[in-house]
Amino acid sequence: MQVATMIREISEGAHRRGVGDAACFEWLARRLIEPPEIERVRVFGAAFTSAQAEPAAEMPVPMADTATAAPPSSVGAIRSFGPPFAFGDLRPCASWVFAEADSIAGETIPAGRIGVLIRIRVSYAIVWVLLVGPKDGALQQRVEALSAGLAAVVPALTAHLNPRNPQRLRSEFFARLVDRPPEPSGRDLEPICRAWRDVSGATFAWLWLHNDLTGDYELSCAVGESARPPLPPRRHAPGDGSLGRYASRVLRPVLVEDAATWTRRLDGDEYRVLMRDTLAEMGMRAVLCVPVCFPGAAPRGAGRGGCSLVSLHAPDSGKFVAHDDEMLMLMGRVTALCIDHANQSEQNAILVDLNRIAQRYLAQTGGRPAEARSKYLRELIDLIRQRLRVGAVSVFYRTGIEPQVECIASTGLIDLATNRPLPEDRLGEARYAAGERNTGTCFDTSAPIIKTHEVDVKYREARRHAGGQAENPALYVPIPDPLDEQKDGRALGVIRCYDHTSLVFPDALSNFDGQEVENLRFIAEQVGPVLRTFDKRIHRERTIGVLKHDLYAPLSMMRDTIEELIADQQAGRPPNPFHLKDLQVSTRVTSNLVEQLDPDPGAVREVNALPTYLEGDIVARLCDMMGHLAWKQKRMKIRYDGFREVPKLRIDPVLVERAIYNLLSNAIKYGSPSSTIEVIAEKLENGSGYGVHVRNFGIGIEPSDRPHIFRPGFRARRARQTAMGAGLGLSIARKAMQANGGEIDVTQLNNPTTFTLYFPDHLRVIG
Amino acid sequence: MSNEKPIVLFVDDEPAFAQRYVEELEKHFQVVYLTDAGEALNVLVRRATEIKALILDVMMPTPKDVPDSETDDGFETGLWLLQAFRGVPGSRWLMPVVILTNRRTDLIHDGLRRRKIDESGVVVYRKIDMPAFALPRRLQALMEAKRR
Repeated sequence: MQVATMIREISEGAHRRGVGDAACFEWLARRLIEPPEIERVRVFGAAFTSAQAEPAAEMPVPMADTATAAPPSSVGAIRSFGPPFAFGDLRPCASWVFAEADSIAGETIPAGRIGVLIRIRVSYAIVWVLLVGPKDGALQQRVEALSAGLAAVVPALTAHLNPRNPQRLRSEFFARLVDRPPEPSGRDLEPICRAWRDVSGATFAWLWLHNDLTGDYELSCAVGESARPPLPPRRHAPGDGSLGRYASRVLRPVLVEDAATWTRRLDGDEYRVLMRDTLAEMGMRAVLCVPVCFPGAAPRGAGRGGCSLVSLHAPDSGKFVAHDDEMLMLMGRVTALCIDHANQSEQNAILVDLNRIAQRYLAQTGGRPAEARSKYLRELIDLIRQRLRVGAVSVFYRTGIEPQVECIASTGLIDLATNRPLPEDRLGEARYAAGERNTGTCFDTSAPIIKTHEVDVKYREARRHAGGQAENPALYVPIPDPLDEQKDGRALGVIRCYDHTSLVFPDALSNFDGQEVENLRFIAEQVGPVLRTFDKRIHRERTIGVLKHDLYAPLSMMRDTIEELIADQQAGRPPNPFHLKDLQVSTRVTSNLVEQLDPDPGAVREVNALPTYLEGDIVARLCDMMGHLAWKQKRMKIRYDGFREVPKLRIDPVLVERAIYNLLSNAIKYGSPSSTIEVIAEKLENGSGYGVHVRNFGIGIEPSDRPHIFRPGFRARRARQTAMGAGLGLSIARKAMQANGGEIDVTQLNNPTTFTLYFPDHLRVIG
Repeated sequence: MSNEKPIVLFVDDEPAFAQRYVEELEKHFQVVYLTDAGEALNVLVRRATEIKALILDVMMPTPKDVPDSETDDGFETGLWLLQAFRGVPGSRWLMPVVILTNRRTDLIHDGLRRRKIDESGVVVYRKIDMPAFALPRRLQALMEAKRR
């Protein structure tokens, strides 16, 4: 069956007979029957409003059934086709599902037969077509073609149904189609319409907007002076729909294919389309009609977007003046107005839902923030599935711990290595891979990446029934990164979706239309700050946990050391110098940790610079004290190679000590047992200042981690496997050095790992 | 039965701060001190019958080849170790377990329940409330109770 032929036949047939939905679907059902492949066809429909996407309580209404003897003549007859089935049975489902020797959508499939349920979504409704045929594989082979054909035919069919015309047959299906998003009002459009008339030199200008619901063009605004258009003898107010009824009678609805052709013409600067034949009935001698196609509106059925028309009327065609630029500019204004309007009504509804769930979980102060975030994400995914009618959704986010975008929530991911679903607590292993036909967010990581793909369970089942491989076409929606606010140009995260149709038709890049991509971008923009807030809370909770844990260790040691010293004193022994050193180290460790107990644990206080001997006051003393800790911890030694000429610098001794302490503490934590840490202090050869190098042999630093090591909260994988920590040491060290006018950097990554502190010469105190 | 001191396995990632406990324990026990939870699990499984008591820190780095999610990013490495060991049949009857931590004890009990670890034979002490000199005595009492 040729789809184009079918559309033409249906549209012409429907128009000629002047019949509506029930007859159309009856016609469709009978047209579909092709023995021996298809024995029976049933059609169901359900409508939903834009504000209330796919409500669970909605029941599909039977529309047509080839098993009944006579075509329906009334609503009552339509309803008698059979019991409605529960919407919930089918949602969410792929665009088509199979059932063998079982029931599908309330219909029992007899033994030896197979049923295919094809789902077609039009702008405000869903139509299901159930095909039943022998189980010999013929139906299975054709199902993709049938599904594609129906996906094209049904929107064209519904485009011809005018629910407001009482002469046509109506069913509950279309009776529900009343809650439409508001259109731009006549007041908004009038100045544009007026400008159009003036620019073109016409005496009268009309603005026709496409009605998504009916597929017709409706007259939304009319401006004229001397000539009155031949309107019917009743009063028409802009935007009340009454003009639309008139318009739909006089102006033939334009099929999507035509609109697409017009768009192409528009690109080629040939946007004038004269519709003399049609408009001659109206007594006009010359009319200029200009189609306005919404940018980004994919030709996906007669759905939202579509196109609008401007018609200009003049008593004779010679009066038209070509002002192409002005005309195009005005068209752009109408387009923007319509898009704004459509977006606003839908995005406002989305915003209300987004705010509701964000508020619910951000307001939870008790409990762990990680749990609140995962609950939030679950609801968010539900919301995205509902709003965008998508099958699979995954949310990726860049956590502070590692420099990669990890999956933090998903409807399901399959690990291609094992072909098994990733459990929820291991979703983080799925990282965002760059350059794999992805969402356009370039993310660079050298970390191993688990190859995954999103799955839609129903889709896999359908493929299995169809005897095909459950291989999932890896298609992504091209979404520019919405969360790219980092200075280094990397994304904070991304929301990735598949819609059902791209799962089924792997050839199409995506069946998302411009509006849906726009909505997804809108959602991502709203979600970004919420996720960042959760991230901060999770990070703070973690940092406080680590600091508290770390604080108790030196406190316990001080307590036990004091016990020993008291015992020594009671026995009349001199205090053990080893114990005194323990106390010294413990207090130093404690004070460093207490400094971090701050609402912002990575902050450093204001600088209080004093003339300080860098060597005697700080470096040498710290090396001696930390040498004791290094020995106790890992039998490590610290070798200090001091300055030849001792500098006196104007620096804050506490902050600089903190920086060097953090470097030494890391050198012990991540150094190999029994190795030697070298601290070399020197005057730089070029005379620009002084350098203190801290070298250790240990786990080293991965080259890919180098840009991130000074970021607060960052901890490399190997570091996490070696010691606990909050990932603040290096970031604090850098802040402390920079506050003093110095700098810190890593000068060698591995064996030895070398960090260098620079003190510029101008810090030197002369005399 | 020889007069050898019973063997105690002590797992803690901070040797400098665990040293005082080890010194006190060594007066009464043979202490096997390990800083790596993965290595500790190996020793524990291989020599389960020889080890008479287990002392565990909770917050420790995640062992290599173990996903971070298993240990809650290192916050529950000790509990992960205990959970893995308790998977060995009969292990719950073998030895008393002392969880010696600086985390809040209610969080530890929550973790034990979440991981479905049988709490019989497991006691939780905070390091700050447990001076080094008191630990051996407490451990002996627990081992005595276990024998009975």
